[in-house]
Amino acid sequence: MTHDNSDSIIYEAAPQPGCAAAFCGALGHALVSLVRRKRIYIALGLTILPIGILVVAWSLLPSRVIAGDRIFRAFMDNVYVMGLPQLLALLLATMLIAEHIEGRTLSYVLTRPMSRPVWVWGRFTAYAIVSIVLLVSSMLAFSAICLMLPGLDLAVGILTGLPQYIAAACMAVIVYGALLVLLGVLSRRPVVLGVFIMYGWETLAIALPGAMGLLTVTRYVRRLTPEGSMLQNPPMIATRIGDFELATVEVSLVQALVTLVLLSLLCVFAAGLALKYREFSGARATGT
Amino acid sequence: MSAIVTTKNLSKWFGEVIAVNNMSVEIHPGVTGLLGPNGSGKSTFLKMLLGLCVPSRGEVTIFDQMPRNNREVLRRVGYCPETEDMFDALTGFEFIYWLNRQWGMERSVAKKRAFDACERVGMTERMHDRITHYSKGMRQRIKIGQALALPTDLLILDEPMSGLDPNGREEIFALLQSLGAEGLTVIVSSHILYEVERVTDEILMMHQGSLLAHGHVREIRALIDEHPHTIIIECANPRKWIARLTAVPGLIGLELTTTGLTVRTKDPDQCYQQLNDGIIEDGADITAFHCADDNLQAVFDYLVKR
Repeated sequence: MTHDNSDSIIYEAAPQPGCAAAFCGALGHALVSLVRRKRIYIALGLTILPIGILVVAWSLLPSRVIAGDRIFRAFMDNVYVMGLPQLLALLLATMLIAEHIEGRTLSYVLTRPMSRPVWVWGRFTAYAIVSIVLLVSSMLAFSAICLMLPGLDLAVGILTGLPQYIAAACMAVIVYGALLVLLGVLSRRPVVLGVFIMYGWETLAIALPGAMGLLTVTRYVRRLTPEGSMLQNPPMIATRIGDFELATVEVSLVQALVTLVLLSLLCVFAAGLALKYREFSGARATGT
Repeated sequence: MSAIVTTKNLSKWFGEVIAVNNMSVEIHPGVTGLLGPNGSGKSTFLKMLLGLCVPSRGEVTIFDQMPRNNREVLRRVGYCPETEDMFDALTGFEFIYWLNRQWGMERSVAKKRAFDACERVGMTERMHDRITHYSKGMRQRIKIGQALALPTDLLILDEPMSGLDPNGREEIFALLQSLGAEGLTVIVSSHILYEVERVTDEILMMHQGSLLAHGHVREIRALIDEHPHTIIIECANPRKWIARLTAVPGLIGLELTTTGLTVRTKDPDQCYQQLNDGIIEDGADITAFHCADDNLQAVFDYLVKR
């Protein structure tokens, strides 16, 4: 700061912060925070759990001859694509922004000259990296153990579907994470709301006939799995008066992928905008 | 000299609660103390200056611009919030370093500025300890450090002395005075007059969301001196002291209590002088004496009731 002769003050402004550096800063800080939190151990435990279950089940079965293909598919589909991503999102993504609102540390961020959307993107990327590393490591380890366990009758050809399962699981982590990050900015109860949406609404809507399933993330994520194409066959409902075909609207692989990518982008973008324009003064965010 | 902060009819209400009511002030370079009891609207006022709160009515400008979501303004402002909460998974140094990085600083610059900030607030020795292991005073220093980590023109400190030990306070007093002497605009909020008096002569006084007084500390002091003081004396023989104290100018009332005597006076200095003289002359049967209402809340109550 300098003074000129007329006693007015000429300010030398601080240099304009760079967006890339701010993104890296938000990413780095979120990575350090995520890795140092206790919940990372829970996330790690969750990703190890399927491997543990497999090994324990294999060691307990007397004949040790199991239909490996079925087990592999069941774990990949129900656990790695439709189970763990939701849990990881609940555990790691929900509080990504919400912890700053609840922990009253948001004022440090909001009073600084950084782009709010860039900050949100940085934190979201950190969540995606941590979750994907955990999930993919577990999937690879699970597949390797499936191959190594004697008696587990696994056809090597089944592993050709592994990249597709991994892609579907990664997409699920991203889309559920984005949804929960948005909820974390908009709601004071993001975990409750997240549980309601993922385990209440999605379960209900997917069971309903017609186009309701299109309003769920599950519908699109399932379509990404190797089994997704099989879902194209309309399920049948057997009743006393006869069998009925459950009418569902079909989604192509490309449609599913585009929908999930767009939904993820929209949610993170909306979270950034909400953070920018929402007033947190009445909330605990700024220590009120 | 043009004002750095200007507010015009600034008001903020949350539902039916009026947090800030019609504040019109101008704040110039130098240190300004924002004084008021807890719940008087100081923090809400500061949050409106920072753009964290949207005014319900009126307007605020900093460097002639609206502050909310204005990066041009915010990059010239440092803020130390009242909240004790910080990123607990980090060390003090990392806290400032990562904030610097998130603000867009390059790694080496962020590191250097974090180190300098820690040094400036006297936290170099403990800066690599986890924040969870810090005392309240240490947290306070790191919070002030992060506000100083950027080259700011306006520094807003919300209750910065809270939790600091006497030595820490003295250091922060000196730091704030030096920042003011450098020509920086500093706004320090506190509910303790003594703290504000130590760092500045310029005071904004708030009560129940409204501006009560704005000016030199002497004017505020004068208001306080007009205020009747209550002095509580604990002694074995209060009747002896009644005789002495009735002669004190400005005495308003005397009351016998179970432990001694309660005196109400407009001239507390004369009363203290009498007590001193009495102790020297007649021996000390007084076990304790203190002023019951020598605090801002009492002054505010008095000013508001007037």
